[in-house]
Amino acid sequence: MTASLTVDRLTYRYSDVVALNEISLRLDTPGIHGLLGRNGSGKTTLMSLASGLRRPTAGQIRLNGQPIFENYAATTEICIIRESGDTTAEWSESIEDGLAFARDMRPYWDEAYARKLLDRFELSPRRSVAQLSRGQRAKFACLLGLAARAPLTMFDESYLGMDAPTRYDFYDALLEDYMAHPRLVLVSSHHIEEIARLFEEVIIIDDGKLLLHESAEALRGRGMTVTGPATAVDSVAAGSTILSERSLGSTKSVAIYDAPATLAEQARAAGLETSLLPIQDIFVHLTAKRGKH
Amino acid sequence: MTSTTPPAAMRREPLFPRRLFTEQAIFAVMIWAGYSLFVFVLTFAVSLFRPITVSGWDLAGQPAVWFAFAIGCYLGWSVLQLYVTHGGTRRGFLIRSVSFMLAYGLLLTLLFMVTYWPEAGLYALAGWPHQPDDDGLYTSLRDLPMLFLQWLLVFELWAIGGLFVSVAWYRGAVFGALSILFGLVVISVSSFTTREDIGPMGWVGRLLPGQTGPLPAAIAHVVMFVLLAALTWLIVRNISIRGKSVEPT
Repeated sequence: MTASLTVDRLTYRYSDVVALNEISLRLDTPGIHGLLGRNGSGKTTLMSLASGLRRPTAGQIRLNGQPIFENYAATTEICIIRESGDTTAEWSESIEDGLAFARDMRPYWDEAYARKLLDRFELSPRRSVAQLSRGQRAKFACLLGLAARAPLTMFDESYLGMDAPTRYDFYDALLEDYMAHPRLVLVSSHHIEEIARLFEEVIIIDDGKLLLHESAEALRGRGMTVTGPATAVDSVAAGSTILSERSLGSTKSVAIYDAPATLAEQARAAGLETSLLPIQDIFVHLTAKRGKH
Repeated sequence: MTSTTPPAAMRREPLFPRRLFTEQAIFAVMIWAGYSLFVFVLTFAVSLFRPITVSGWDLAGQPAVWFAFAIGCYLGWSVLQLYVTHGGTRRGFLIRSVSFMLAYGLLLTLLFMVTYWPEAGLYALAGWPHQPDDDGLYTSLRDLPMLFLQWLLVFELWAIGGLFVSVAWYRGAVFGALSILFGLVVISVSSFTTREDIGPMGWVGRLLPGQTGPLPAAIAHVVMFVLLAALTWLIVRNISIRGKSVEPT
């Protein structure tokens, strides 16, 4: 059964600061979903609430219809791997100890897969966690997240510190394991351009509010770049939501959001070049529009 | 889901942390071996300068109870976060911690008591009197039931005290500071019920019925243990598990 995460008017406050403000959404299709937002937008708070690490101030968050906070039946279905690497007691344990703890705690733990990942990520089980570099700790944390095989698995910027080849190796491992064991995976990342290709659905939160939740395919189709002679571009783009404009001599390029379905045909008929906007560009434009630079 | 994975609704949180206990028991035995050797060597060194009149191991009890306190702190500061992040509940953490403390306090008591025997042999060889350092529940080191009772009560209380203080600090600095004050009162009550000299916190003694002895000590320690466990639960029941990087409380 695929896990189903339901968020209903969820609010969380840190003293006077509202980190999440009445967010509602539902995730119930297996896939690797992207949770995007700028720094301080509420991504980590949402994931912390979804894993029972914090109790909501108001509203509800449920897994398979059950409340999550202090509910062992729900929390053992969830694995969160945070940037801070708090799934290991770094000053006192070895990698082998960390694996043993996860083996005890995680009902879906796959020991053989964990050993394979140790080889793949070039980690020695005898090494002390305290002696690992930041990137190696991130690899170990991601290993714990993958081998836990939890029906709801969340990675919150957990691969910060990894170099680019290792990050790509992690993305490949994540995709391979997801294909073999489909489940609900939620990934928060600032390396959007690297990982967006994996996303089935994209959730964007900004200032603690839900800005957007739709399939990655639909989101990609909502952004378009039109390039060509300035007068022709202006004519085709007139009345559309322009995210950005760039000109070089008489050539102009505009990024359009929520373009009507006929716009691409009109542009091509006018001899203009069109291309889809990457998700990262749409994210930047959607969140930058709110004047936070 | 593998064929051996029980359905979520059927899962029960284990009541006793077997792996943690095994690891910490091995650690305690290693520390005990090193510490007892150190105390024996130190006693011999002291004997070169002054006569030995009391048991060195009996004097060594205070650092030993701090060890129990430190283990309690380890649970509250490190294991809590690890346990909840890996899918455990705060309620399960407290139950496991209390069961751990009960077993671990017993282990420390046995390790502590067993050391009196080799020490007694050494003292007999050297011709030194093998006497307790201070009047507690026992007046002789051969009074095994009272030795057992006093050290069991003290180790249990200090271990749960470490847990209480550490979760209070994890929750926030104000809770942490208050826990230290409360901890001093608890230690004073403990001292008062086992021996009359309780040092600078003597005012606590004036608030208590003026009785020492095994029964008042046992009752007072059990009450304080339960009180500390209850206060720990009040602190931990809705505690936020922060990331190790900067994250608001």
